[in-house]
Amino acid sequence: MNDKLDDPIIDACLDEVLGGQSPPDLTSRILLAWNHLGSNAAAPASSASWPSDVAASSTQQPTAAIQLRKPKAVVNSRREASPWLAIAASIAIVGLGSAIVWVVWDATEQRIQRSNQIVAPEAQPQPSPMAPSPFPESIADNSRDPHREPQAPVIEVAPNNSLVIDPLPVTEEQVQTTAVNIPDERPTPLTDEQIVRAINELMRNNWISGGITPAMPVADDEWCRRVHLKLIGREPSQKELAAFVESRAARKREELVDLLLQGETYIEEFAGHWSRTWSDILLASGDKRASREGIEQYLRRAFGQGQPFNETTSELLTATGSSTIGDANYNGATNFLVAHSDPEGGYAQATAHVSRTFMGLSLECSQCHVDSTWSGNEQQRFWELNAFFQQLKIDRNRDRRSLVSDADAEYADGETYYTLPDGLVRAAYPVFVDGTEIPRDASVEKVNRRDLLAKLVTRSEQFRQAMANRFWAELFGVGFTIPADNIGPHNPPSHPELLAKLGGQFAAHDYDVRALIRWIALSEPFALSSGDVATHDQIGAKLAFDHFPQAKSTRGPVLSQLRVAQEAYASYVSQSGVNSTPARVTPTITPGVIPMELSAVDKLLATVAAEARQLSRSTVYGNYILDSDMSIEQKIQHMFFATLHRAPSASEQKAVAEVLGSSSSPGSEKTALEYIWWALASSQEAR
Amino acid sequence: MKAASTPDPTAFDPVRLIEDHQAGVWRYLRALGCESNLADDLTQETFLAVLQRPFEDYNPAATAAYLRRTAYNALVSFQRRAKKVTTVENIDELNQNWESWAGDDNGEELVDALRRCLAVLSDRARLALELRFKERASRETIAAALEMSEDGAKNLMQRAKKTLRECIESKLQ
Repeated sequence: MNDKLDDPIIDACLDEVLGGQSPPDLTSRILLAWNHLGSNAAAPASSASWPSDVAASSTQQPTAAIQLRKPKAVVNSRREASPWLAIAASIAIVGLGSAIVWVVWDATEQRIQRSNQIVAPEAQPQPSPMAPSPFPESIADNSRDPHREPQAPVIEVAPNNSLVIDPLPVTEEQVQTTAVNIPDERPTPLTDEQIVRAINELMRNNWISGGITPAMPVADDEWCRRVHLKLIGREPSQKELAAFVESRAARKREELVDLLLQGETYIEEFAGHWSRTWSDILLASGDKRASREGIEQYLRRAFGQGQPFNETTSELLTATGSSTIGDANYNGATNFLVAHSDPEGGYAQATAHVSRTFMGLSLECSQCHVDSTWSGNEQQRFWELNAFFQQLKIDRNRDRRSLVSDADAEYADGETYYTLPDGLVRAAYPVFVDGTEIPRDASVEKVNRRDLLAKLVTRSEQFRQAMANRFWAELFGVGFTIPADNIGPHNPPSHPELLAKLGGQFAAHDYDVRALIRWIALSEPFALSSGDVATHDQIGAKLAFDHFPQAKSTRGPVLSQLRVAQEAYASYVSQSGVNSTPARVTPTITPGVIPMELSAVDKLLATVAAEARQLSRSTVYGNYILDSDMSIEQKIQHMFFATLHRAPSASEQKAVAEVLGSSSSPGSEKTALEYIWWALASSQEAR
Repeated sequence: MKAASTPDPTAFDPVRLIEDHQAGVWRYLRALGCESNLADDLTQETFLAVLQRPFEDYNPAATAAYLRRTAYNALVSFQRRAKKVTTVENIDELNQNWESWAGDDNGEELVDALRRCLAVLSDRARLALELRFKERASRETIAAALEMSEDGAKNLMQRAKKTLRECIESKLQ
């Protein structure tokens, strides 16, 4: 709750208008949670389901569930006990004592049994818990293995700082360690041609089996425009477009993709586009203390230098230093954790974002309740993952600066505490989602949990598939799952085999982002037309990628957009006093025929005004045209060719002249051109 | 809004219900003093609570009022669990204001009116609010930036909010 509520409604609105805290779209999240609740009531989870099996690998802590101590203040409501439990506890207080005695005795018995297993490990040969396998297979294997739980390995840090692994969670006197590293097994790399062929074959098989006829391939000009937009974030220039269309080279598409990905002249644009894209992903719903400029700067360097994406991810997860540009110990990568840090909430947000962003596991709901739709262990799994953040320390001060570091965990075993739905407080120790345990030592010097987490994440099957899905989604506008960062049996990928193949090859090629993008951009689905949009893009449907998904929009024809631009610009002139003759805002500009309410018109105009500058200035080419010394007529011609690949028609020229005519001040022509650029770029034809 | 004894699964579309009302619920929770993350959570809890019960969507205004009531209950429940003191002292007045200002359009017009009313403020008042709400500056920082005392900064912002309130009232009448 905030502390400045002298006028709560005004304060909330100011937070929105000035602070940018607008209502988020929670539809997917709510529906997902609702779906879980509904499934919960309807039927118990299938034992073969993926999360169930993955979670089943998490080592149970038989003694932890009876710990009623709550050693630190818990701010997150979801971690609090229900109020009725206090009443229930007082009623049952007499019985509780005996229950505790019984449970402790029972737990002791279990420990003894486990100890018996430990002293004779050869009696139960353990298969490698880290054996690489795609999601479905490993899930099925785990679900069939009744001994999965005790197989969870414990990684120890040997005196020589190498990682050693123990087959069971054991006490100090029982440690029997076997030296191993966290494996990073990758499939044999295929050639680019083999991978592209595999994508096409898997897609075609899917079309054939589904009786689907794919859309027609797009012409060169549209493909050229699409590949420019998706790879470097801007339209091709007239010259670039003409050169490509007129080229007779047999492999000109491959050459263009390679040029955009590798060409020296495009490195800055490539790095800029993908750093902006990933900044959006990494800072989504994040705290405003994080510096977007800082993380963009960091990512621009990483993408520009072709840094393997697993290294980038590791740096984001293990970053230390100041998040503020200009500080001596500045490290732009810290801004990811700063954006999602909630020290007072035990870093639950950081846990959720790391899990979702880098592994496609949406565990937010699990932090507060047991989700038996999946496994009954999801809540434990969430907080076990959260325990990896118990050494994370983020100091904030009032001037928005944040300092990220590691410090010894608060409790001796570095555990975190959470509340079960029945009110019991339970301890969780660091266990990765695949069941891998790390030592419980709270000392950073002995065990740096974030370092280990980074290794576990970036060497996991989930990471490579989640990243392949994410890049696919960025190029197509939709991934193999909707949303792209939520993969599981509740939301299975539309093409699991292809996703596994892409993820594996991404790893095999040392997480080379350019290679992954190249495969996708040269695939057959990427070159298909949008087809009949009305029959596609149903949310929730498994996308066949038999057409190029087209973003839904309310875009209108060019002329209609130009008229909106004219009204918006006239409104701007009127409000800013650029023109001595205030223009009248007509409440009938519209995409439709029904007159709009004035407030709706104002909102539309405000949106246009905001987008006009952003759209025109977000591309190198837009800036080039607007700032050039060309005449107005030449600029208009270039803008039409850059966005629509054609010259303006007579009626469009007239509409453009009307926009320009709204201003009598020469200095304001540039702003008028921004509005015209908006109209062209946001028109139906530009998509 | 009323409980229905035999819910008709086709009576309402949950996606539309969420899409149509989530912004209003979220803004209402923010007005009740929730931080954005808590507003996210409680908005979700609100819809989950509603979706788990059969109900009939008589009209948008009634549904919006029902959702606000549910949201308020979710907040109270949260505060009880967290052993926190309610920060909204005069909930009835707030509800009344919200009903008249934002009861039927999710608060869109209210936010829009505020945006326009900011132009009414003096430069110093607007700067103070921008520092407070955009830059998250402390009162001390705001006072230093405006070269005035902390109490002066506080009074300036309070007066600015009062002006905004009056302006909004005039625009939403």
